[in-house]
Amino acid sequence: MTTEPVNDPVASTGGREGPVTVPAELDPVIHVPARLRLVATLATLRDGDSLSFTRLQDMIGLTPGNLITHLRKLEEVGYVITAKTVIKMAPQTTVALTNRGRAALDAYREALRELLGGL
Amino acid sequence: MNGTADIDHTITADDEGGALDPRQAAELLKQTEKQTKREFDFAPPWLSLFGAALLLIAYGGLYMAARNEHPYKGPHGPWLLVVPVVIIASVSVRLRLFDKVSAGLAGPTRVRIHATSAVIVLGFICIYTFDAALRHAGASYSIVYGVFDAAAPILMLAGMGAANAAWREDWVTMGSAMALMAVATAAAFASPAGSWAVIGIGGCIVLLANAAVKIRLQRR
Repeated sequence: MTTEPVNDPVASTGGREGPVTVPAELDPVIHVPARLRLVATLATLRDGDSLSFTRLQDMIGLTPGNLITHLRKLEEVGYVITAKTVIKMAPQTTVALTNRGRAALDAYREALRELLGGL
Repeated sequence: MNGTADIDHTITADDEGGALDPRQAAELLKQTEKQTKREFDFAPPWLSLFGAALLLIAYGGLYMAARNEHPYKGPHGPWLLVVPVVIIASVSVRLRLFDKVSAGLAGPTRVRIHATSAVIVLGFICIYTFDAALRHAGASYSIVYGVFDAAAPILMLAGMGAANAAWREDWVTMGSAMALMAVATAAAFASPAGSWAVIGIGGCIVLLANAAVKIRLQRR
């Protein structure tokens, strides 16, 4: 398996015993448990649907601060988009996966399949 | 994000979740997708079990209310009381489910749920208006309060259910809804009273089978 150290400061803080090495085939932005769960959760929504910050937080089980940090990371690379929406007459922050994010997850899944097939 | 500005944005190694090898990543991805699909399931197995029980009770009650009629005049008597009870139970449980599943959800799915509800209400109004039109045109009690009234609501609800399931790519529910339509159509060949029994028992079997298949698929 080809691996290389990741320069991404967030991805490389994974272990307490030094930088984590991420297989080169795997997208380092997604290859973090919390963000993998975020992207996978949002990917099950239908095209055009978005999910409120609070429901997403309930489902993923992260603190609000951590969820924001992970979402910002995903937003920076264009994988998710946040917006203000009115749900049941109450304004809420909603999160949706972009086409780019969906494509990235598909590529990540394919890369995993290839890696595991080769193990 | 507004309303969350005072939250600590620092991230720790634990928050990142530590090292993740490809096998763990694949398992995490699989588990997350499985859990999320359950969270957003508008037609979970327990709803099919509940629907099977309600259909058997409602149509069984209507059959009991009509079985000894000669000539046939339509269901009447105390057995009819099961119908409003079943309708109230069904509507309240479905509303609760939709409320829970769609919490925090914005976009086409939410709009679709509201549109579907409106179409169902309109569908029932049309069915019972059609009843009156059939009677006005001289159709017999056997047709109006037997074959037609037994089959029409199921044909409408199952038809909508099949279309919605196809949109969600829920093929098990779509197949079950189509089987329900077949049962309702076949019931028209039974006697007017018998059509209530055929739909009650046949529909119950279809919904039980639907629940069994879904539970099996979830356990995979």
